[in-house]
Amino acid sequence: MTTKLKVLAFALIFSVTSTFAFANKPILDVTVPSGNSGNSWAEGNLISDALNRIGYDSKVVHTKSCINNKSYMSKDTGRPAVFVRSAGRYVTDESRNCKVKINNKTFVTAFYQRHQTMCVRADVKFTTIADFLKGKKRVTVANTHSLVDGIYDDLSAQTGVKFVRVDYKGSKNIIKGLIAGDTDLMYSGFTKREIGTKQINCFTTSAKKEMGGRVPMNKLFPDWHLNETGGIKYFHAVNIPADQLDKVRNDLANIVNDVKIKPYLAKGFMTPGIEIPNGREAFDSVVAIIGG
Amino acid sequence: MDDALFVVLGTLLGFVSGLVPGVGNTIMIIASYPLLKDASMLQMLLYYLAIISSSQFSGSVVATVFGIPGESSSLPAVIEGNRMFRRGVGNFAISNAAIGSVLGAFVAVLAVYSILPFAIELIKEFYNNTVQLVILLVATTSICFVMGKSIAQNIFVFGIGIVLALVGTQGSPYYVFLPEVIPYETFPLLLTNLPFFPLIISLYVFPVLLQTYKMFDGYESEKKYEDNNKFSEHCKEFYKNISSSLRGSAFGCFIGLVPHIGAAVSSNLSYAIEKKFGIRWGQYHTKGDIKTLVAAETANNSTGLVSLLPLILIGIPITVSEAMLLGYIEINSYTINYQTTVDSGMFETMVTWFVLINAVSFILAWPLVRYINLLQKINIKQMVWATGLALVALCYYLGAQSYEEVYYMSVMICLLPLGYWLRKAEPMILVIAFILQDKLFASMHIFYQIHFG
Repeated sequence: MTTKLKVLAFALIFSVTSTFAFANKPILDVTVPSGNSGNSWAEGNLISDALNRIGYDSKVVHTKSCINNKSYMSKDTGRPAVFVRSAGRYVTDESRNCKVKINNKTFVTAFYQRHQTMCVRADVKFTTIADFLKGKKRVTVANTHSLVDGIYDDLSAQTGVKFVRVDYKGSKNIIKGLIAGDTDLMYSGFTKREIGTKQINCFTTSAKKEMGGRVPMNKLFPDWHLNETGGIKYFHAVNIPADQLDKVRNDLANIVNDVKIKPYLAKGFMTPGIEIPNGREAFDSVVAIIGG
Repeated sequence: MDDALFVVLGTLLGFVSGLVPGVGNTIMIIASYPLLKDASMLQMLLYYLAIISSSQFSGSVVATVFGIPGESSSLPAVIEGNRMFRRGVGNFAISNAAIGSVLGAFVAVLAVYSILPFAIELIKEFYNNTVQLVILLVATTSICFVMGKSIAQNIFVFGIGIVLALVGTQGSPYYVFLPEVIPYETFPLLLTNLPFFPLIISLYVFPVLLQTYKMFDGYESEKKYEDNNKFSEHCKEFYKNISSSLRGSAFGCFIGLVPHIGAAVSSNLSYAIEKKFGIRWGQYHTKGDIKTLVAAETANNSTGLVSLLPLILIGIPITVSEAMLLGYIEINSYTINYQTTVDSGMFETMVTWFVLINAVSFILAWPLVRYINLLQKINIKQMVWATGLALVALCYYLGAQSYEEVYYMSVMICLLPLGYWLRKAEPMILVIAFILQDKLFASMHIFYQIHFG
């Protein structure tokens, strides 16, 4: 064989194999069934980028709501996907008749567990919670509109102060509402944003022990049913073929070690899914508490 | 794509939108969706600025030569410009309107930079839900009182827009709208709300194109445009009218913030005041007055940048084309407020491009005016139909992107009869109500919870 023919043959083999490799790149999109300015959107993008880094062909599909997401799931798009779903969101979706069934095939793996926090504006000074509530008949609390009804009922009964929920669309708007003076308090996930916003003071978390100088909620509100309940999120499978599920499950369990996701979880004091012994059980127990 | 490419395309398509009377910027923005669907927020804003700025130049040319207003703000150009054109000095009407427009743009930049620091401080200090609700109420409901022929009809059209936006599942507060009346079980896609694009095609584009079509019934133009004067002569003429231009700029900057009609009011009010002074001082020319024209056209262009401020600072649009732009910004998953635009430095880039766009539009418009006579050979009615058909094809394409082409086309067809009726009403009222319903209701719900919950 002449050198020219060898080069030609090599080029041919290379082009065929590389095309084949590209064509075989596994697809795994990330759908985001919520707004585009909150944590869910940011996480959807983080995960999609991480999936691309580990060799998937992944893009973010903004389905906006549970209904739209369900409609998207029923279509033959030819692109398997996952979406991240919190226990809170699961309970709300169920109560709003947007049922998306969880079973061994759709519950891929837990993503993370995080704490909830309560914050006030930074200029509001108080030493104890009794101090803060003193003289108040009602306290307005900013939270996301996806929370289930009646979550503050027992808190109101315990303190004798009416806790009024104020529903904002997306976690970013909760902080804006508090800073603008719309509400007295906010109740939200304890993330990098809550920690890093200087205009607010997040004085308590749902962690069982003190965290970064923040008193546990179970000491402030010992009888509140959510005082130790954080949030847990899992990956829900969308049209993933059965023969690919194990690989996807393994890759998503380890995605918490990704260069961008690992620090994201660490900054919000979140527990990565891989460190939760039984993700499904942990998820079900949070659902049971929130859903009553 | 590079930011500059969006500016170039926006400038060129803005010229086209100004040249096709009645079609205007909003339909051009609607038709530009494929171009903008993967664009960054800066690129979308630059594209929008380029369209609204360059269309002013070509729009006043068409209004002067054809005597047909592209938008309600071109009315003074139709009256005075066309009168001047008929007495053979249309070239001065066009050149002075163009130079005035450039001056108006520069004055608007100065005005915006003067008020921006105060505006941001105000937002930081006072922009709570109550303020937001008041602004939203003004931005949405005011349109019923300032446009069209009948307030009752406007309120009815506004109500239709709200009802259409409510179809399906609502997020905050959560509920399914009229489950006993709307057949969600037969057509489950209705639960996902009515799609934006087919609705806009049927209920905005269709009636506007019908209105435009009617405008050209029996239209004939007999006179040709000519310009035998030097550039310096045009500048000398403008210099004589510079005080009118500066007065127009001031009006434009001040009144640009009036929702929905800022451009029309500033243009027509500048015209009216300048005319009143002209008559009092004995300077008003009854067969086409250049001072009133310059004041109106300058005010018009000053409004362009100023009216964008509410959208840029707090994400609330005050014109239909801005509402469309906001729709695209939100579809593309961007958040627009002073933090993402001003604090991020994006606004400075926009202003730099705005100045450049106006300068380039002016330089380009000058030689292009000579070809305006070619427009008389084009069948505008056919162009209107072609625009409509292109947008229907676009609707199908966008539906196919999300595997919902049948749903998109069905919604579009079902809404066409309503669109036909809207040709005699103000379709932009419906669009504003439809786009802002979600924000308005969420804000009202928060207000209720804070004060009465």
